[in-house]
Amino acid sequence: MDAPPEPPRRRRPALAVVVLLLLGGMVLLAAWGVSLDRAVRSQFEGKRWAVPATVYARPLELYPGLALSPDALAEELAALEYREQPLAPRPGTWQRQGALYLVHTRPFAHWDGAEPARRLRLRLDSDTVSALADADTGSPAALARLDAARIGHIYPGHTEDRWLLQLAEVPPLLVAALMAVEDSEFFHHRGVSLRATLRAALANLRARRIVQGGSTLTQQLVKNFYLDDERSFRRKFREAAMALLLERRYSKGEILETYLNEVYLAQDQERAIHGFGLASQHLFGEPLETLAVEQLALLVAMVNGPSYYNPRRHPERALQRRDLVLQRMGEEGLLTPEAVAVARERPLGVLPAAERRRRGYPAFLELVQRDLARDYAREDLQSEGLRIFTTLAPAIQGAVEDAIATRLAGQPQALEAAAVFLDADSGEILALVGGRDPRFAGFNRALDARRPIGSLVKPAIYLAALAQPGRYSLASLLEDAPLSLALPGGQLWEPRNFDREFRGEVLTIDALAQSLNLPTIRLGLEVGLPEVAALAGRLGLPEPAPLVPSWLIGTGEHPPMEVAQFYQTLAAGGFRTPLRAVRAVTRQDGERLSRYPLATETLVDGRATWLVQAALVEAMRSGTGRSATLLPGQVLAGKTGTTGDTRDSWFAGFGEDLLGVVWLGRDDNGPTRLTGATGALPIWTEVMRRAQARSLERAPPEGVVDVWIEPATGRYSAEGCPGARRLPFHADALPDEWSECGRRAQRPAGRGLADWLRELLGQ
Amino acid sequence: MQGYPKPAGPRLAALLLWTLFIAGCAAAPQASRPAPAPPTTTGTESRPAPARERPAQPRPAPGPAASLQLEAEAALAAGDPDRAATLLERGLRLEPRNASLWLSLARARDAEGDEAQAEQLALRAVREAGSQPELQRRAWTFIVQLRERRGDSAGADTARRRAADAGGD
Repeated sequence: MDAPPEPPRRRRPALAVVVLLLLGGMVLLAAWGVSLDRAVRSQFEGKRWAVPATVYARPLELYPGLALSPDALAEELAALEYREQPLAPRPGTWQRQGALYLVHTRPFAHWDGAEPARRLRLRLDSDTVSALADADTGSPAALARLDAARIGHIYPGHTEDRWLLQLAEVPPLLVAALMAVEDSEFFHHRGVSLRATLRAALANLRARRIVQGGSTLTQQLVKNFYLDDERSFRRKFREAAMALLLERRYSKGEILETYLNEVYLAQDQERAIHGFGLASQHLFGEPLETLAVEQLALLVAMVNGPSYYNPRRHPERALQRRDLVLQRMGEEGLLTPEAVAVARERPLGVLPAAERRRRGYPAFLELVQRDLARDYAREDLQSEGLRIFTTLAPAIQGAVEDAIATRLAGQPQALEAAAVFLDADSGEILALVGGRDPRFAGFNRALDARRPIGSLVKPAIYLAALAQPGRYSLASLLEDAPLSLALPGGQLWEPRNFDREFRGEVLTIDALAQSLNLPTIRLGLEVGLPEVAALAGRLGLPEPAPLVPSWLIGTGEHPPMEVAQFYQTLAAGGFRTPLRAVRAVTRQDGERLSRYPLATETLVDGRATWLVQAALVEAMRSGTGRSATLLPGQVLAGKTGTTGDTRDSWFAGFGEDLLGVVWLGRDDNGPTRLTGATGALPIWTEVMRRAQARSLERAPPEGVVDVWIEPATGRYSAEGCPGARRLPFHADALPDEWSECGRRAQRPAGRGLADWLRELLGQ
Repeated sequence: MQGYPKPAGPRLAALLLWTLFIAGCAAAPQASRPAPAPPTTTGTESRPAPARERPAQPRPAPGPAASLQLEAEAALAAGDPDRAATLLERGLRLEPRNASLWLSLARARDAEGDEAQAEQLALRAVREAGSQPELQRRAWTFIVQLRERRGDSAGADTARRRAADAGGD
């Protein structure tokens, strides 16, 4: 019988075992694969998507007529990290020849539109842009916007630092050199390179230990996910597997970009320097895009051994390795032999550790974060790669920092400082300093130090009074005489003037300009303490509880930022504009998430505000601010504040555009031995000078007229009469009496007051 | 991220390991980027600018904001008040005393639907208009419209008187 041969039964169990083993192995492997894949993804996503928000300063807008000193321009360009280079051949370079400047702007995607790179020619005459033109076409330009300086990032912690780059921002030559040296098959392999691994394995076998890597960039990236530097075959195998997984999940571009931002390149004391962007800042103090060929080569050289090739510690080794990289670049055709030869002649170009430029605006960044915290979750700011466009003006910030450093030089270490400078019309914060060391991210006194504001509160009292035109004018006489008030507790309060003198009767304008306490307290009590406090509250100084008469001379405690909001309304003619530090937020791709528009609100009568402004101008001219040395012809308004035992030295003041509040004091509340005029005022003055704050010289608002008065009585007078002063008045509430001299000089027979008034009002 | 192609190199996929990995990975969700919740979005749902008579105006000597204002007016006419407001705010940073910019911004805010801000900005325009009666009249006339629209006839009358007082042509 030819029965079909039976399958050999004996074999079946063996096959089953094999199959079972295989299946079991497959399940185990699959499980291992799943877990490894999960690890790879969480690591990679963590690295890749944790892109902190980038914070930008406001871009400088250039136009003929702009007040801009050479120093201010240099400060702005330094914040932008522009390099001086003859003819400004590339974006991000500039050149100065006397009054003429060439500035080659970088292309920049502003939140409200992109600007192309442009080579601008501008001329600065007497600290003003006198001409602006496109350097290539020669045609005049009415307006040109520079790129916005990167001023920081919002990180999850403080130990790690990144200067994150998108692939498109990385110089192609760097990428090409990196591949030439580290992984020439990057675009062709799938995570591991068998050829490179075999070559390395051979070398390792020969040496009987691991001497060569043979790792692809992908493997190196995976290796970077681990903190230690263990070198075992088991780890190698795991890394290779993870590299394969990574390549399967993500594109070459994504892997490369992550690598460029992740690779460990240097150590700065406690701080690990990861990524080429930050390494470039760390070594050269410049962004990657402005580096020269040999500098790029040095960065590539350091990948292989960040501490071994540390160019600051081992310049010889670093130079050798750099030249090797340059040679490889030549071999790969990335550089001509001539270029290689030239580059090899160049020094390392590394900044000495001490001279590294340290830029940072921790106080301002904190304000930005607080503002944004209202609208954004913290994780989003830290991980979504948002772009935050702020209002910081680098030149003003620089001026404020310098002025504080100058004034505090030689002062006791305990003397602290805070300052807020802003644009009074837009409410945009231009500069913020939170302490004596502006680089130190500690207690932010500009935002958080609640200190008695002293006489800075007084304008609120006069504003409340002058808003009642039938009752008060700048020429009203106030009594400057001893005052004794019974307080609710039964105590007696006997306030004094700063100089402990009594003047009898003084004009309202002088009482404020000279910051006299007694007339101010009388005025405040006459108008009504609750009424005045309510007005101050609306202006941005929250009401204290309990409300006591001494509040009228500044026992209320406020941080400089609140004082700044209060003075903003005074400076902007009664229009309150909320202070802002952020203009807009976009995603990385430019899609706008939010805009913080200009808002304004009529808070107090523009005429009353005008009168208070006039008194504060008088304060600068003849009152407590008279020691200020401003620019010739610069007319500004300001107010000093000094608290008991000189614990706080304040100054707040403004011109047509710029407003500043400066505070000096000690955290332990000890005496500073400085008054507002000797401590804070010189700082404010220096900033207003350097920033060329525009003079207050506009026409008064409708309903305000200037009138000559007799100082001793507040009655009408005339130009030429002895001591006559010209003061602004509410047009509905002019003085109703004439001085003798005024009547004779100003009122020809047959014409009544009504005629004269009509003429005065131009009707 | 574009420009770097996926590799087309040796076929490692043949490896058993590889297939297994893929089997393992297939279950895992694809990488996706979480989206932050935007707090305030602007621009898309604002209503188009209502057609208004636009009297020809004598323009002062053009300042740095002149081109921005022209662009803004075009954006407003094209029904994009958000863009217009953005340009005008930029212009106002350069020329904060330019009453015409304030008034244009008031119109843009109105077109965005914020009538309260529109009125405040128009009042600001009045303040900055100073000795320019024509601009004052236009600002007050605009305030009349705003007040009438919200039914404040007393306020509209006041504004109308101010417009008449301002004169202009």
